[in-house]
Amino acid sequence: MRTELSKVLNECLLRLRRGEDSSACLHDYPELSPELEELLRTASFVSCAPKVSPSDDFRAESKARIIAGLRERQVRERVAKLEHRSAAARFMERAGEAVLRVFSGRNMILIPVTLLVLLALGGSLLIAAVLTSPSPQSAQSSRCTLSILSGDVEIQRADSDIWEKAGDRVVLEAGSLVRTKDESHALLTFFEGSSIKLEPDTNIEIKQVKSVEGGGSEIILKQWLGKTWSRVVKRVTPGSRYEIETPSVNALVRGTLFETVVDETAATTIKTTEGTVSVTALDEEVYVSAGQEVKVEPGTAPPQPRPITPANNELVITVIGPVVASVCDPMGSSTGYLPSGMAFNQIPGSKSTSPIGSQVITIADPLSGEYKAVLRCIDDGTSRFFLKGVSAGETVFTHTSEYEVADDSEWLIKFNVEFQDSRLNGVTVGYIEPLAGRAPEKIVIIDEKKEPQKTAATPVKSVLQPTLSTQTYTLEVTGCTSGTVTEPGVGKFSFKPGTVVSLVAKPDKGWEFDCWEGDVVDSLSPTTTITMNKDRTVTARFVKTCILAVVSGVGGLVEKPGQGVYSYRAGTVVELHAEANAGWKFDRWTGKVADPFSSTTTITINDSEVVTANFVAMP
Amino acid sequence: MGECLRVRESGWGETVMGSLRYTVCQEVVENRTAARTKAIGETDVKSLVERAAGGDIESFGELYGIYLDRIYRYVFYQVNNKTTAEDLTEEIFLKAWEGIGKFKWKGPPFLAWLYRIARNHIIDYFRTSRQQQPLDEELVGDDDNPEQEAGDKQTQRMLSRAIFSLPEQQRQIILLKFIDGLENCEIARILKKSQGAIRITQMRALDTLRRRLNKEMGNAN
Repeated sequence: MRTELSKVLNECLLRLRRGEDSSACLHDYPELSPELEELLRTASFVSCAPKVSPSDDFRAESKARIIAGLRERQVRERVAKLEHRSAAARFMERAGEAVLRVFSGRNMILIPVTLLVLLALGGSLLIAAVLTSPSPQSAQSSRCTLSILSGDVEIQRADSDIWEKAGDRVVLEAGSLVRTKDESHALLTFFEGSSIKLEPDTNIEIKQVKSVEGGGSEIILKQWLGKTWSRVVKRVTPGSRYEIETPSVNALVRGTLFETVVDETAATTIKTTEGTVSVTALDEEVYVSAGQEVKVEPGTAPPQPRPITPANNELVITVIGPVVASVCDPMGSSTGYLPSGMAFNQIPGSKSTSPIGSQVITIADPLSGEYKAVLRCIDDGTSRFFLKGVSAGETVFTHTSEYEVADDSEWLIKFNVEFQDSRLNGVTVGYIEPLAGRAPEKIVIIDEKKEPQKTAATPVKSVLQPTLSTQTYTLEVTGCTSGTVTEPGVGKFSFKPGTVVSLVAKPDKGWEFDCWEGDVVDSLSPTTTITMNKDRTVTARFVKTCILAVVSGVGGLVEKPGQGVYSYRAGTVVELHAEANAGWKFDRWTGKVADPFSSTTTITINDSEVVTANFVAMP
Repeated sequence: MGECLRVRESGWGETVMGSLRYTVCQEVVENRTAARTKAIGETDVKSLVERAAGGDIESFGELYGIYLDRIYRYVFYQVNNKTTAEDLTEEIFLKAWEGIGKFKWKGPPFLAWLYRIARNHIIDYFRTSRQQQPLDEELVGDDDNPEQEAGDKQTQRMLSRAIFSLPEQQRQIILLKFIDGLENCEIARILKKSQGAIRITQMRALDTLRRRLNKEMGNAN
């Protein structure tokens, strides 16, 4: 029966695929109809259900990653073949030399036997060399580079049990230990591009750093204590792994940003910003995805991950235009990109989008102190720099500036972030200045042919080249009469491109400020600014002030503007209205009014004036 | 191929449009994946395969673009984790590159060959992995209609869980036949089973899936 049902079902599925109605199938097999209908309904549901698809991001990046990975493999294979051939050739050369020595120093009778033995040995050794020679690996592939970002860092080399002070850019091998002192920060950069940043009082061991077959990598670290921030480059090759062991867990990743904290009780907290981290303890595994964290106590299995509490404070730096940006924090850690396309992320909890188009660098829980934003220009054009501070979900400050930039130029913007009661309070942004070769980032440049990048975006053109720019722009402050400009003064001044210049106008006595002529920010304010992104000219205009005294005679009052002394700008037209008391009537105005015999009239102020309203008693 | 009905509108278990018109759809009219898949003939695939076998990476990249969605889908329903599915999909295609020189065009169709590599790779993955993955909530939905997208995701989740819970052979049949639309003969080649065995397993798979879906619907309500 079941066999028959399976055959009937199969037949009906074929008929439905050809466009037949299911009712026809059910009609043909009434005895099987109830069960058949359920099965056909299920088949239809599955076939018609919305399909799972890969994300567009994965679709785009993955193909580029695959192609880049395959190209790298092809190059490596060709290199390997070349090196094997040359190794074989060198061996044969040495074998030949040995044979010649035999010929020159021995009895001729013995030579044929000796020659045969030597060649046989040479042959077998050559075969052994071909079969067993390892795939070519550079010396870099088992090492990593330590960069000192700030403070003191100590290392213990693999073959020693003594702690020594580490120098910047020292190369370490598997088996080495690294520890940062109080208020000290360090960065380990691995041969394939991944990096781990060590916060103060952190102690780690480099257990394994090596290439694996197929172009992958194996990096295993042990974190005994402290906080680290890992940026793991995603590799195409299966078998690549980046693993951190702690006293309580194993964290395994392939392509991600995450933080690992081991406290003094050996409890481990993993927080993932990008990608997924597999966390294992006591043979139980959980996956900590982006935006999640997990805390594992020693000797316990990992609990389910929970969402990371959003940072209380956040800095958002947005750069638009033909520039590639990076930001360096007060501790010397940096996040961003280089024009070569190389990405780096050393600031815990930070993220940077690709610099193609506009670039957004987000720093969670920023530090108090001086930050440095570096803008490296890849074309002529206008660059916009936006800075925003957010605290408890509210924008605390924003800053916007715009610069005209030239291809291959590099710029530095320093800004100081201030806090009050642990909340972002404000920022002071300095003037843009040429970088002049003073790159603040500590980056270890990895050989690009060994690094198929995760984003695989078209690398930004132009190579990093320090440029010292000597260009200046002229500000001419001219033609001030009846007043002066006290800042920066009257005359011609030179400023660096992008400088924001303060302007202050001061009128002479009896005059007041009228307006600025020129591209200032607020032309009606005597105190304003102008940005020097080209040569500029400004003029301060002043206007005379005049006194108007308004008086009334006996028998009435001046209602408008009232009796008294007033100061007006020359040229102002003032309305006048006089009102007689009971038993009196308005007679005339004395003074330079428009209509002296109308109780309502006007006066144009060109000089200081006195006007009087006169009244007469009614008969 | 017949009118494909929007079963998800009426809900699982209800009669659609008041009549028994069920059609097994090979291509869902509003299926976004189908819209993305290039319509490509066998001759084109053969040409790409031959060039890729000769070391042409760009041609292999074209094949990757053509078959990515199907392989990803096949993997996803078995591991139920987006990140893992992405990783495994890439690894599968790398293995395909390594073996493409040995692919004989007279043998199984290229897609069936790919599926076989995928299946073996997933078997290896589960052998070395400690446990099966938790359900991943990050299902893709790029509909412009948020309500429909939410409905699609709910249906996808329900179906994912139900398929994930099936026994291995039944799951393979559901994925290859009703998700990816392969014929029995192709499935038989991939799974190295007879077509008779495929028919029997197909029936059992639909029956088990029906019960699991009923349970999912019961849990949702």
